[in-house]
Amino acid sequence: MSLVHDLATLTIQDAIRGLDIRAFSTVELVAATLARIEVTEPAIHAYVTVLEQQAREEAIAADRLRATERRTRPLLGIPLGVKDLFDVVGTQTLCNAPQRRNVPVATVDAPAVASLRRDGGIVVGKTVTQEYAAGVVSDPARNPWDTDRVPGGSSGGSAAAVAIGSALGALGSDTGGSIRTPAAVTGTVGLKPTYGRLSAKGVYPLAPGLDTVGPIARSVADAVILYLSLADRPAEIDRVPELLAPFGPEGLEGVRIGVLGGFFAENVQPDVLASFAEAVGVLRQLDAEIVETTWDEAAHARGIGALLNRIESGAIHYDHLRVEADLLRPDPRGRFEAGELLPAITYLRARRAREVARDRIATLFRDQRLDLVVAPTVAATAPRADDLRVEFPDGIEGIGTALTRFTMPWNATGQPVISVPSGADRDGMPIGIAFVGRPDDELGISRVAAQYERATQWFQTNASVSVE
Amino acid sequence: MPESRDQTPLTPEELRVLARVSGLTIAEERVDAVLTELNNQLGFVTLVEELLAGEDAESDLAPFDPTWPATDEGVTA
Repeated sequence: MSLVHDLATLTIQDAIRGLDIRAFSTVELVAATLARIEVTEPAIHAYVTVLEQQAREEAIAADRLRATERRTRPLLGIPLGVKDLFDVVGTQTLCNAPQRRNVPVATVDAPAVASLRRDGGIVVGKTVTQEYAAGVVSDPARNPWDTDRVPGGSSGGSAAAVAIGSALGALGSDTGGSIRTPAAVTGTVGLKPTYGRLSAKGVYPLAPGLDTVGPIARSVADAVILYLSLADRPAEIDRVPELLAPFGPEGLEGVRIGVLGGFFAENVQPDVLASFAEAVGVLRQLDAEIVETTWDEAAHARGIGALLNRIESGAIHYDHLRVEADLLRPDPRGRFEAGELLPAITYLRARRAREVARDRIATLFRDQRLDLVVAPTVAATAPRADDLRVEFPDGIEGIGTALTRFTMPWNATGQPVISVPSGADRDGMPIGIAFVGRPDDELGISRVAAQYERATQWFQTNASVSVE
Repeated sequence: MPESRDQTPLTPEELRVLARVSGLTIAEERVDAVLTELNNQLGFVTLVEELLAGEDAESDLAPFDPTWPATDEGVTA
């Protein structure tokens, strides 16, 4: 079995181990990643730019430095993708926007990229996003599980690359669900950290009051490894197995989990609902204490997230609506225009309501003594790229609403969320479950999610068949 | 409690007025699409007002802080 083929299932943890025991070199790992990009790109279109020469040079250097720097650079030699919204030295940050075709190349890495590089990560390329990150389609990227379907967005290229193994992990950003949605519909793990904790500098903004950077990976452990690097805590990376240890012999002893019904159970595709019920059953088997509950302000929080998203992005794109506006695709253009026309008082009231929504979810956690809550990550699986409507029991919805209804409330409250694969629908398309925690409890929700992942092993399925 | 704002959907003519105030040019063939999006968003205003009913102070406009009031801790790793 070749390393190129192994990349379909290889995790960052596996790769670190393989490099440490010299099962393969960084040069071989990067060469295999580049070969896999070449094989898969004609069908997946996950990348906008591949940094082949630079990646090969960095791989040679990594092998040379391994003996002396491995201990301080835990990601040494790991091939990663970066959403083309982040500044990466020597590349244009195009944002899938024709308006940016002539922007100069970045001369400084975004801090998130710099953190991964500091720890030894190798950027193999920049991944496709929706135009200015305003949407969930990520054209022309396709879903590796069925290339007639979208990979979600706006970090769709990052998720597709990880799902097909043309990157071991990738950077994404999340304003209304743009890490979690693509993760859920491509069978990958997406971690949206607490709002405001990681630097979003050097990342083209969509709505600065909501924008959050985070990793997409193949497993919970890999997502945590990348998160620790992004959070400037690389010394903890070698302790990840310990950080994600079971809570007891069954896995989740003493963990009290709120299972959200109400808003999060309404108008959901039946296979997604069934998968979620099964996942809750697994959590119960792991000895978690399950509390059926509802968050009465979830719909409000979603509305707040939507309004802040639209109004702030309308302001960000003020000039783009006035200079070369015809280069904007119709959907983002309509969003930005509508955002600009919403009243200032609506923005101010939504900001105040955000604080109320935050306080209400805090009250729910406190009153019901919850450690975390779970819900389906999104209400549907990936729709077809040639028909961007989604069928639900209560009717048809546009893709934007369908794939962000359940993600946006958590952007409004700013809580950390990790989405983990939880099964597949009747067509074999991936489904995700969201573990939502208290602010700053990224490691706590990941530790719980890791027990679920171990018990189900959904992450070990892979999407490679559809392009090979 | 103040009366809730009128959330009757905006008309194309009202959209044109808003656009003129904003100095934004919206081509005639795109008015319907923008209007749909704008009215969708205005639909959320009712939810915002519902949540704010009975709440007193306006936001102080400080950057949003997701931190909760000190309570017990989460599932610490």
